[in-house]
Amino acid sequence: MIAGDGAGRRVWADLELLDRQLRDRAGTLCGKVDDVELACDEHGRMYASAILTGPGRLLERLGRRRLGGWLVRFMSENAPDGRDASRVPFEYVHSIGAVIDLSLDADEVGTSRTERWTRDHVIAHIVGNRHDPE
Amino acid sequence: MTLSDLLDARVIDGHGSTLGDVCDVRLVQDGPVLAGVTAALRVDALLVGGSKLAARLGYIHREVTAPALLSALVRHLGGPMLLVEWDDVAEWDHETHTVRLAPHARPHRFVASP
Repeated sequence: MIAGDGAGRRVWADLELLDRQLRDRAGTLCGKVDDVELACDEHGRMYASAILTGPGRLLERLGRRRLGGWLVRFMSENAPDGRDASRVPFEYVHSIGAVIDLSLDADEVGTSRTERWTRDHVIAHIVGNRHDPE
Repeated sequence: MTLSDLLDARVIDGHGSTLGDVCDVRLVQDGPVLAGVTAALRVDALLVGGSKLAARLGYIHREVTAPALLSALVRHLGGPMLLVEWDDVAEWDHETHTVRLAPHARPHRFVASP
């Protein structure tokens, strides 16, 4: 649910959505708005259907579509639930302001999946990974 | 389709003249109802022309007005901005990154409310 001024509220997408900070329901920062997915309804009206976040989506926005698309697919295929966590449907957007609040947990958002995957599959196999550098 | 596909797209009017590039997209919360609880943000209008940097800094939308001299300067240098209603868009070509307007389209000069 998008809280704020209610129905009829106006938002400038580039100024007020793109690159805004995302925050989960516990108040944890969980990435930025890297792009916005658009869709058409049955009447042909175009609307914002999802927030896209994460390194793959940012690469796509910056023109590196093949690499970004591969990264998004790779992270989805290797996710435990097989879900594309880089896509946050707008029904999970609670409010839009200086920060965009989501009604999700940070773990459900794709931003840090690359970081977590690297930790679990690469860093965890390096000798001495379990203690801080001396 | 993504917002970044639309931003910076070249806008061509119904007579073939180039109006400028899409600088921002106005969304209005009166779209289809999502998950039965809230209205989606519908694409309502395109802001065309002007300076992208000035818009990103908030000078074009008048969210930022100070310092006054810089505000006036960046808005002047960016040139006039047009507001194009989404209903006036006849075609959006993702491949050529082009938005074509219908012949009856009447873009008007964008004046932000202070």
